[in-house]
This record gives sequence, structure tokens and C-alpha cells, in this order.
Amino acid sequence: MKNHNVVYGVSLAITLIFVIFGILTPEALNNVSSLIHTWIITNFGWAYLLSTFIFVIFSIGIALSPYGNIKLGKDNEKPQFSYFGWFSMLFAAGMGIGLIFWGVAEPLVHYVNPPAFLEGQSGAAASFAMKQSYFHWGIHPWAIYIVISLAIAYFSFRRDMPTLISSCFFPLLGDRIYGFWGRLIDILAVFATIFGVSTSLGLGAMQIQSGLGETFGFPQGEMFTIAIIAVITVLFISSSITGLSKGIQILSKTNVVLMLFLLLFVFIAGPTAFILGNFTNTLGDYLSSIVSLSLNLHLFSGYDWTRSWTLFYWAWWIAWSPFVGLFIASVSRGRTIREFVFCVLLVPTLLTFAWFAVFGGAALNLELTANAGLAEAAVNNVSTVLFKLFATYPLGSGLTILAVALLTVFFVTSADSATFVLAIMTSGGNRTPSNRKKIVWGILQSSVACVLLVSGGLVALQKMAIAAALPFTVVLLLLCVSLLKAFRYEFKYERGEAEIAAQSEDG
Amino acid sequence: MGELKLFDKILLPLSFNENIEKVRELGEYLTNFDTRQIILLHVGTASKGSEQKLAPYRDVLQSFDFEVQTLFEKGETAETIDRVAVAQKVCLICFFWKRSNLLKQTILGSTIPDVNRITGKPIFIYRKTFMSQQQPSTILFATDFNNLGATLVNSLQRLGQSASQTLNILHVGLRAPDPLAERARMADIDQKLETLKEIFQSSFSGVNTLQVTGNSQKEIVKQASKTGTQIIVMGKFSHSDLRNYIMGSNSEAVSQKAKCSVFIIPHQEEA
Repeated sequence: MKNHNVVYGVSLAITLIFVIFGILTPEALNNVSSLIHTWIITNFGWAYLLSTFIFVIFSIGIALSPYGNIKLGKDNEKPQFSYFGWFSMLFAAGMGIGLIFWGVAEPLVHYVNPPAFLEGQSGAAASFAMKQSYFHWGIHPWAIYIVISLAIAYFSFRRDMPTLISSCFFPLLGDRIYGFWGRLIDILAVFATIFGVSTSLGLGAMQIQSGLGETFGFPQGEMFTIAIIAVITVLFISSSITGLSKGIQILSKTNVVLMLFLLLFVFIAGPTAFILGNFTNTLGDYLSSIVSLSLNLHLFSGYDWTRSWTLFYWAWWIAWSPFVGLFIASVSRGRTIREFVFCVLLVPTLLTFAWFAVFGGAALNLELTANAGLAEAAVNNVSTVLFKLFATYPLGSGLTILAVALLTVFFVTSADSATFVLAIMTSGGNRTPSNRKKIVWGILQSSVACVLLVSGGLVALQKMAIAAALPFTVVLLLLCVSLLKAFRYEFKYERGEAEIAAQSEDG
Repeated sequence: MGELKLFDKILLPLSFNENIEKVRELGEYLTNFDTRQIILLHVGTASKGSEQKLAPYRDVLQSFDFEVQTLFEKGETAETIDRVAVAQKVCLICFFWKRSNLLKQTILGSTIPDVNRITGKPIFIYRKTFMSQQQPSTILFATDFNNLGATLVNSLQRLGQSASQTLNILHVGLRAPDPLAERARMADIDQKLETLKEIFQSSFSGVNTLQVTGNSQKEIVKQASKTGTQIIVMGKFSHSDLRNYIMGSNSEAVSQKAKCSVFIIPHQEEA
């Protein structure tokens, strides 16, 4: 049996088993996943924090080292996408949808409910809220993505290996990547991707529905949520079939343009000076305390807060990393490692910081000056607070429609790229997977989301996806070792040979 | 180049903690080679007591017809051993293997690794195996192909001519990043190993080649154990990279972990 058929078959089987479990006994699934999730976060929270910090150091270290000159492709290859197309796709796959909701909600929620050592709704809480939002959405998630995408891009485009996570382990495992261990890694990646994306699709659709219901009085209920998922499914499968260079790229660029428009509008129409001050202040706070932020569990006071927020985020980013990493790798061919690392680490982060400064800042300003009730709304229902903020602006309805369009397109791009990635992972790393596989995974993702939405097993499955982040953290750490071994080999043996060959040609 | 006297003149540092039987075993073992002279060195003050302590070791070695000289020198142990080795123009420095106590070694240092680090002379670390009384019949030569100086090649040939029967040439490499490059690397290593095999074929009754990937230190020890090796022969560079500064060199680690004797031949001997 071919390797990719094994991965395809086993992943499908595992997915179906969990879905059936979720349908038949959602409470049991919830209990089991809660137990595993709590145990992991309690006992290995420190490991998430430490590993993520290692990924940041690793990424920056590699970029600054001579290895930064290595090209993610052959030496004479040029980048496949323009900078704008590339950044747009990075952003759409990596953050997009979450940022739209949390850009406003997160600073407000931290402002109201900070860790135990801070007084809620105080100046210190506001400053903490902004800094922590920057931290959760800043360079750390991107460093996680960098590790996996760098490895996939290097082994796929430079070493001509199949675009699979298992391929990246050749320096460590040798031919064993074609055996049990390789398959296990790929199955784990598929498993994390489908559960991560399905739960996001389900929970996100519920958020869209709740937002639309709150703002426009749209009907509530499962059928309406399923209708939203169905529409998104048709859109993302169509986009996925048209391929990377057309569908996903065009949608991602459209998204970023829409985002920039909303950003500029709120920046200009809102408290501009406050936003600029907020950006500068939080950037200073973030940069000056990045090491303590990276490694501080608030163990003696506020640990529960860290577990609920920072550790949840870190586990979630890691759970998403196989999918986002493989996608980022797919669009980064032809870049040097240095260019890749600094662009992936800094450009989306800067846009994210701007988004938080503008939307979080505008919301905090309203809360501080006019007591607009946004903080309360954020605590009660995250998905409505963005629309409530827009309601305080001129052309508020227009902004809401734009935001819903943005959300929908972000959903489409996330699901679209996930479908593309799943199809690659279950086609033996074939970078042009068949449309049949894309359709199968697309429909399966949405079906999982719908079925679990009805049975109530979505949150349980999300916890399961986060639990899968723990073994994946080990995978990511080993990827760092594998990459270093590969780079060392290339520099020690191949670079020397290439230079000698070039010199003899010159001679 | 004149005939290489590999075991001709040996410096044997003694701390007086050595068991006399061990010294007898070493003497017997050295009769397999062409040893003519042994200098017994104690780093410390010469006194009547210390001379008395050294006498039994001298007598044991003299019983094998070796020419034995005794020396007392003051100073830092490793540095003194190296200084005497150079001054006396010995062919190699011989040590008895001692179980290393990690804590003690970390705090107080250890003579063998210290001498290994600073000396330009070959080092032979004798460890008794169940086959010590017999001729050393299997030698494992671990090479990365960078340490192949004339001294090393001649030493190995000399070892083969004097006593040993089989030579296993081992290369522990870094796996290439992809299967295609890995196949090319293995083919290249095979070719290099074959070249070495031809060089040593006339000196040994059998020469085998072996290439593995992984951690050099672990693999050398593992392969030595697997092949029933009596002596591991390794080259050593005088320079160190960052990893060596932190982790110690391969030869240091192998000499501590191996369950057989280890012969370390510095590359800088070429000069």
C-alpha cells in the first residue's frame, strides 16, 4: 500500500471515529477532551512557553547566521509571488479571521478581567491588556509557523522531497520517514489540521451568525449556522479548485485591501492621536519586556489567567501550525531564509500591531472616555463587540457589511488553504493535488463542523485539537534539530564542493 | 621516511594508585609490539618514599626485558607529562584507563583528557579486556577522512604488521538532507573507504569497511563493542570548534566510554 494512501485512509478513519464519538456521546467526548486538555495545560504549560521562546530564538538565529543565505528553492529560482500577494496569503492563512474578532475584544476582555495581580478596569489593566494582546498575536505565533514552514519549504523546494512534514525528518530518521514514524507524523498533521479547521469553521460560523443577528436581527438557530457553513463551503471549494495563483491569492489580496480600508477608516474617523499614542506606548512596552513576557507563567499570582489565555493561544497556534506552516511554505518558494524569516516574522506582526492599536485602542478609548459598554459586550459575547464599535462610527452599517464580507472571505481563504494543504498531505506531498481530493476534504471539513455543531461536540473537538499540540511541540523542536543538521551538511559538504566547482570553471 | 617506531619509547605516568597486576598486564600486552624503552614518570617530589613506591612497577616492567627509566617531576600534572614527553622524545604516552567520576572530573579535572587536549604526542589508553593477554586481533579505525596524515597511516600499518589481524575502518557521517544526496554521499564514502582498504590491505590479514550515520562518539563505541574490537584508533586535530570546547572532542569522549584500549594520534604530528 502506498504511503500516502495509508495516511489518507488512517486520517479519514480517525476523523470519522471522533465525529461518531462526538455525535453519539458529545458529553463523554467533552469530558475526555477536557480531562486531557486540562492535564496537558496544567503539567506542560511551561513547555509551551519555553518551546515557543526557543522557536523565536531559533528563527532569528537562523536568519542572522550564514544559513540565512540559503534559498528556499534552487539557487537561481525567483519568488513565485509578489511581496503583496505573498504577505496577503501569509496573513489570510495565519491570522485573518481571529484577528477580526479579537482585535477589539481581547484588549477589552483583559482590561475588565486581568490576572489576579492587577485591578480590573484600571490604567495598569489597560496597559497590560494592550501589551498582552500584542504578545499573543505578535512574533511568537509567527515563529511557530516559521519553524514548520521553513522546514517544509527547505526540504520540498531545495531538496526536492515530497511536500510532507515527514520529509523534513530525513536528516534525523533517514529512510524511516517512509515507515511508521513518518506516517505517524503525517497522520498527526492531518488530524490536527482537520480538527482545527473544522472547529474553527463551526465556531466561526456561530460567531458570524451571532454578529449578524445582533446587528441586523438575522434569525438565530442551527439551521442558519449550517446555511452559513454551506455557503462558505461552496465558496472555498470553488476557490480551492482554481488553485493557489488565482483563487487564494486574489481572495487574500482582496482581504488585505478591505482590512487596510477598515483600519484607515477607524484610524482617521476615530481618536487618531490616542491610537498613535497607544501604538507607540504598547510597542515600547512589548519590546522592552519581550523576554519576561515570553517566559513568565505568572506562576505565583495569575497562573489561571496565563493558562486560560497565553497557554491556550500557544497550544492553538501549535495545533494550527501543520496547516498554516505547509501553506506558508507553499507560497514562499524562491525566497532566501533570511528574507523569509524576517518578512514572515515582522510584516504580519506589524499589521497585527496596527490592527490592535487602532481597533483595541479605539474601543478602549470609548470605554475610558464614554463608558460605551463595549467591555461588557466583549466579556459577554466576543463576536458582537466589533459591530458595536462600528455602531458608534459614521457609516456604521456600511462598516459592518464590510466587516462581514471580510470575515466571510477570511473564512473562505482559511478553509480554502486548509483544503489545499490536506489534499497535499494525503497525496504523498504532491503539490498539485487532484480536485477530487480537495472536494473530499472540503466537504468532510464542513460536514464535521455541521455534525458537531448539532451534536454539541465542537468545543470538545477543539480541546482535542489543542491536546494534539503537545506531541506536535516535540515534532517542532525536532524539526529545529533536523533543519540545523541539514544546513550544517549543506554548508560543510555541498557549499564547499559548489565553490570548488565554480572556481575550477573560472580557472 | 624512516621506519616508524610506534611503541619504541613509551612514557608511562604513574600516580602510585595503579595496581601492580595491571602494570604486569600492560607489560605483557606491550610484548606484542616493538617496545624497547619505558619511562615511568611520577609528577611530584622525588623522595626516598616515592622512589620505593616506584620500584615495584619498574621491576615488573623490567621482567619483560624493557629498558625502564624512572623520573620525578614537579608541576601541573598534564602540562608536566606533555613537557617530559617532548623532552624525552617518546613515541607515545601511555595511560591506564580509569573509570571517570563525572562530578570529580568536572570539579578537579582529569589527567587523561587534559593531556589529550594539550599534547602533540600520540596517546595510548590501555584498558584490560578479556582478550588482553592475547594478541590484539581486531582494530577499529574511526576516520572522517580529514585526519589521514602520514603518521596515522604509518602507525596503523605498523600496528597491523606487529600484532593485529583484522582492521575495521569505520566512518561515522552526517546524514545528507535528502535521499538522493544521501545515496551520493554513501557512494562517495564507500569509495574513500575502499581507497583506505587498499592502503591497509597489505598490513592486515583482513580489512573491513563500515559506514554509519549518527553521533560519532556513540557510534564509535557501539561499533567497537559490536565488532569485538581491542583497540580503537582515532586521529585528532589540534584545533577545536565551538562544539569541542563545550562538549569535549570525540577522542576524549571515546577514550572515556570505550570498553577497550584507545589509540589517539594527533594530526599535528605531521609537522
